[in-house]
Amino acid sequence: MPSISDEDVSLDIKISEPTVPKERAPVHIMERKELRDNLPDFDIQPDPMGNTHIRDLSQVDLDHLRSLTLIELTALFDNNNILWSRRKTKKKLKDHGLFGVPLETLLENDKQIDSKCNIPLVFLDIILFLEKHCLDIEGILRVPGSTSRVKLLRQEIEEKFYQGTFSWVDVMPNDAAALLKQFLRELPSPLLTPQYIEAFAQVENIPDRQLQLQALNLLIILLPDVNRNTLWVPSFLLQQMRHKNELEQHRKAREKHKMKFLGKKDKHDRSELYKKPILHEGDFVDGVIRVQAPHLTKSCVAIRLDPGVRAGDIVNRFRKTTNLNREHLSAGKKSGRGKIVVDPSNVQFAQDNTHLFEVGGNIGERCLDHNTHMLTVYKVNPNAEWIIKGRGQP
Amino acid sequence: MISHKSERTVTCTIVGDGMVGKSQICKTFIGDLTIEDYEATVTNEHSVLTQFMGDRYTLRIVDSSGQHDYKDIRTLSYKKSEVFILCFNLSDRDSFESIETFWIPEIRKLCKKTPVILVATGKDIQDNDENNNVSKEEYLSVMDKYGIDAYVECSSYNKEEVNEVFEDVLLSVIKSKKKRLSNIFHHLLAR
Repeated sequence: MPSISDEDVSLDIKISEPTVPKERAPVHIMERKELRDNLPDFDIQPDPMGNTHIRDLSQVDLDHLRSLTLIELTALFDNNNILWSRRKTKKKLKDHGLFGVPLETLLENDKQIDSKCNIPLVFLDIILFLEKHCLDIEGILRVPGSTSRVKLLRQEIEEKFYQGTFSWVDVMPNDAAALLKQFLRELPSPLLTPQYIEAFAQVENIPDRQLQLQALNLLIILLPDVNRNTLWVPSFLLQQMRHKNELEQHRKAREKHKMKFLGKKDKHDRSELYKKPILHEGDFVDGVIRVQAPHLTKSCVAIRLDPGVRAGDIVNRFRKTTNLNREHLSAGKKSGRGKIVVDPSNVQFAQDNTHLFEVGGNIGERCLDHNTHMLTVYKVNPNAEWIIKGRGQP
Repeated sequence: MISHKSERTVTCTIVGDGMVGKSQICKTFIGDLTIEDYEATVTNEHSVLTQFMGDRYTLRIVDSSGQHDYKDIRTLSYKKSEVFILCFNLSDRDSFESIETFWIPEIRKLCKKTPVILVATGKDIQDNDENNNVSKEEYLSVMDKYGIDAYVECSSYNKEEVNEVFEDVLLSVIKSKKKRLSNIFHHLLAR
């Protein structure tokens, strides 16, 4: 297990103090100050490796990442002498209906309706409704709705939601808000999970604002997928994961060697996901990567990585530069021999949601931000395969 | 509708000096007709679904680097190629001369029997200096000398003329396959 020294750990969230020019009125500065006390004003610094969104990573990588995050968090809390315990809750679990059902179960049910959803549909519906019609109502979450109406509403939504017949037309805003509150209250486990809810509360005891943010960031990575939406993954943890994977590969390679030596067959070779490191394939020139696009017409491009090349530039090479000129495609009168026909609908170019993915090497799979500096990533993971595809595409 | 009896993949590699319009031939073929600034290619691969004489073919076109120094990457695809498209520019004598001095030796070193199609690009442009232009007699004599299967004159931006190039590609693949079959046949009969 490699150790992380302090210089390895670079903070990803850097709080940039807003610099206020002197010419501005003092009142303005006061306002800024007040604002800053409530909510820290921070920017996410661009990372040459590309900022990593949690949805950019594959499931396997996430599992690895979680355990690392826990270690990091524990260390952070220990450094600040904060103790936290895991709360234990035991509640009866329902597996049907809407209220009082674990989020995971709800999502599983919803996946049968819409396989792409990542938030329970009821919750999404209530939120959408509130967002659309109720934002201008004062005290929306404070003023309770009428108890009897909420009760009726709740019965109705339990019965009709999955039949698709529930209508939001006559729902009062405060009743909807009450419904949302009931939904959250009756979840068998708190949204921030019983394991970490105590830790969330302890974050405020960390003296440094920046560390506080970092702790929150770590905590949110630890949450199960359903409980978490989209967040940034700190890159030093990724680095650590890559390192671990590499060590693992080396170990496996060594073991294989030993096995070969002993004349035994390595039976449990399940390292399909992580390929053996290819150390300088002879036919490849250093600094030239081969980007593959199995779904597109332009199926493979070799690119020399200059210092300025970003992931977005590479994706652009697979884009269409103009509208297809259909007349030209079908034109042709010359007779006397077979004509070649290219069907324009078969010609595929990169779309807006197409990204460059870093696959294999010392990572499972990661979707690269368009701003990612390719050379930096290449140096960290020279044995990766580079694949162009849309999010969620196999 | 034409019935599709079979579908097969044909791999061809485009070679030739830099700046003769190799990448533009590919772009025109898939219908992307834009004039862009020149950028040196390292390697691009396209796979295009086409119909030819009632059959479906997947054409895998490897657009290689014209710069002589990317030799390792370029020759990687040579072995898999069934046809070579050898390009030169009609208004650039240097690109014509390196066919004899560089490209044919490189191809024949690795692939002795693969058919080669000679493509003269830049049909629409003429260099002001008469000495720079390549005449028809000159490249026909090169064709005879090295046993080149077909030649096409085209402009890289003209869809019809570019299509002709790829028709020749498929024709020569079909032909060379037949030839191989009949060779085996003769061989068996001669015994």
